[in-house]
Amino acid sequence: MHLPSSQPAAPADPTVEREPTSGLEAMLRGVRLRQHGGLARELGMQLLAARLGAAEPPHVGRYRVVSKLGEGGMGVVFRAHDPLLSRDVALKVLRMEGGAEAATRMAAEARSLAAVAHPNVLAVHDVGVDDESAWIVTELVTGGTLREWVSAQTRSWQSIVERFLESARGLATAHRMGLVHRDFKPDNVLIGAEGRARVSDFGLARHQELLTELSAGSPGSSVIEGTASYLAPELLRGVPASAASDQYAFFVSLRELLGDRATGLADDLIAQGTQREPEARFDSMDAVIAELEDLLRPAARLSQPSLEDLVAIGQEATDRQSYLEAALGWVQRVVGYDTALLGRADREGELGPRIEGFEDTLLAQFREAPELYAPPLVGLELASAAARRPVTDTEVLSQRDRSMSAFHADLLGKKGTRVMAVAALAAAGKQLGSLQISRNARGTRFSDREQRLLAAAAPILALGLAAHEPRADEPTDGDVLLLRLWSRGLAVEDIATVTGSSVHAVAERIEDLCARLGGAP
Amino acid sequence: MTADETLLARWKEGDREAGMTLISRHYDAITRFFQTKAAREADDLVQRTFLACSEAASRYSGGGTFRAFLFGIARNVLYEHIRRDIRAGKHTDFHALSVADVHPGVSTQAARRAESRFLLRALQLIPIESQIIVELYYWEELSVGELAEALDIPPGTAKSRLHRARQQLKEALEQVPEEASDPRSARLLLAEWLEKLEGHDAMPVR
Repeated sequence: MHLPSSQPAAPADPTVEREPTSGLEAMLRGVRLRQHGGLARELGMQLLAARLGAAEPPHVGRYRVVSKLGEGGMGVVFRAHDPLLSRDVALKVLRMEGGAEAATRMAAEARSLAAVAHPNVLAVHDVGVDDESAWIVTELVTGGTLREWVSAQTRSWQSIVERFLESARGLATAHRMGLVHRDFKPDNVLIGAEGRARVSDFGLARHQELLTELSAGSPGSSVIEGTASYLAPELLRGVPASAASDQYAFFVSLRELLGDRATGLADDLIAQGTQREPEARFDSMDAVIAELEDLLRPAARLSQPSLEDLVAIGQEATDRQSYLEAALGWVQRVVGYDTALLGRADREGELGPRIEGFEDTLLAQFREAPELYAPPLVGLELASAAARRPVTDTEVLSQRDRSMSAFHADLLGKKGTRVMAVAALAAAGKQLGSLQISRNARGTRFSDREQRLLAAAAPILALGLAAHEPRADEPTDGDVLLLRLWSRGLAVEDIATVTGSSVHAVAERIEDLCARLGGAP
Repeated sequence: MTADETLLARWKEGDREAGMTLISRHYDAITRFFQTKAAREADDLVQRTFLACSEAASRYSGGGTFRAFLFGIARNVLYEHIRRDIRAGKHTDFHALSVADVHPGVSTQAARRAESRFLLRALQLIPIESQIIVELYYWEELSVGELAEALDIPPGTAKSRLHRARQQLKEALEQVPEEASDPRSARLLLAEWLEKLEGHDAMPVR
């Protein structure tokens, strides 16, 4: 038996008559798929053969190729082992269509890239070039891309901004050396196992363009197709890439990954960084770094105010006005909240959603460091409950309670945060949802210390009360909180103190509310 | 040149070089096969195909061409993958299901040019079995006889299925949604392209 060998390009069996060529058929035959050629294809094939026992693992230079990690517009990335230094590295084999000249130019630029030694720039170890292929050996970073990192779990806006701040430092260093990235995007930032961001693929876009130009018969630039949304408008007008166009891509990426986590302040930065005219953006990445550091600063101060600080605030304030002022200062200091917005006691209903945004952020951070983030979270929860309306919407409230229940479970499990757990429960407990205020709930008394601490969280409560203008005949958010604090055992005297009212007024209000809600004080 | 069949037999007997030669001959075609149907898992599926091929070597009767045999395996590997992937039942109908059904929003980045991507999108709209038939016939240039072998059907059936697949593709071309990312109207490009290709009986392009 001897069958004709069948090559991929073998002519069709002539004994079977083919139909005459139609337009559709010509079109079908004209389709060209993007397939890796050269070294990348060779390595992929040899890895396959090695796995099937048909070959030894392939080598590139002194590096033994271990497995394929992935592929992108720029080429294929393999995991490789460097026996000389006894470590694993990443081997990126670049698409090569431009021949020796392009390869040489690429090598020259990769060498200058290797000179950028910065913790936030992917370290280039080695470069190799021959007539048909070019490859770059870099440190192996296993944490995935920034995009993957953000979607892997709940991230606070602060932690995302921190990764961008690191990326900005990497970009700034390269810019100072005259290197432009040209293709910054979340997929080109790698996150190490330790959480540090590294900007990768510096300048490769340029080579890619160069290769496209040099290689005959490949119309259109695949690079521009691939990452069009990150391209600064001036690049489309033919202006050469610059630090300013990198900055544009940086902010587009930031906006994309922050999504609806973006706060007003971050929005402002993004708006400036993505200005149409390059001159209207920030002067340099150094300026961007300063802005981002500023953005993170209030959050960084979270480590400073303690429960004891709050107690002090609560004790120093002698009247309602000073409570409010102290509360404003505290809120601003602790959560970087927009003081003006709070002070204005926003009537357009903007306050509620914004506080909710902080709540989510704080919740996420709380999971990372409960001791640190519990106080502001509780404070915000109080403020949020007080500011939100309508509070009688039980559906909304029970929904919120559900989202808070995981938090409560966490909180209650942590030693030392019980006090805050009690306060949080007081702020967001089930009673609020159903408005089932009853005397039965009075079973639990707070200890003196707990009362003191709860009172300390009260500036925010007072703030919430102040922000809310009650309507005549319905229990306000503040009223409900009042009841809840009271029903959880906080003394009328304390409630009066923290809300800046008289004992008599509080008692009367509670009595009135209980009567209306069908209970008895 | 050593025939594929001989190489397969030698590989089976432990001749690694023969295995390597065989793999290198068909690596691109098998990669293409999966690229347009399950791009993300393509590497794994290519590997599974060659592995199954080396294991099934003894079952290879030598009655047809090796290529047809190999594509037959690739098709089985693909179907097995899809069944597992979408938790479809044993009797999943690949004459009805399309790649677009299985993986909505499947990438067409495999194609170089906008027109090719447009065509690829159309291919992904027709039933998978039809897509396979069209690709194997036009891209891999399998004969109707080889097609019949790969799909394990009589040649007459293969011919009529090819005819039907082409009809389905023509219809699908008119249903392909425009992609926002297309730099120009792909439909327009397609029309120009067709004109260049002296296509007298070109399918209507809106």
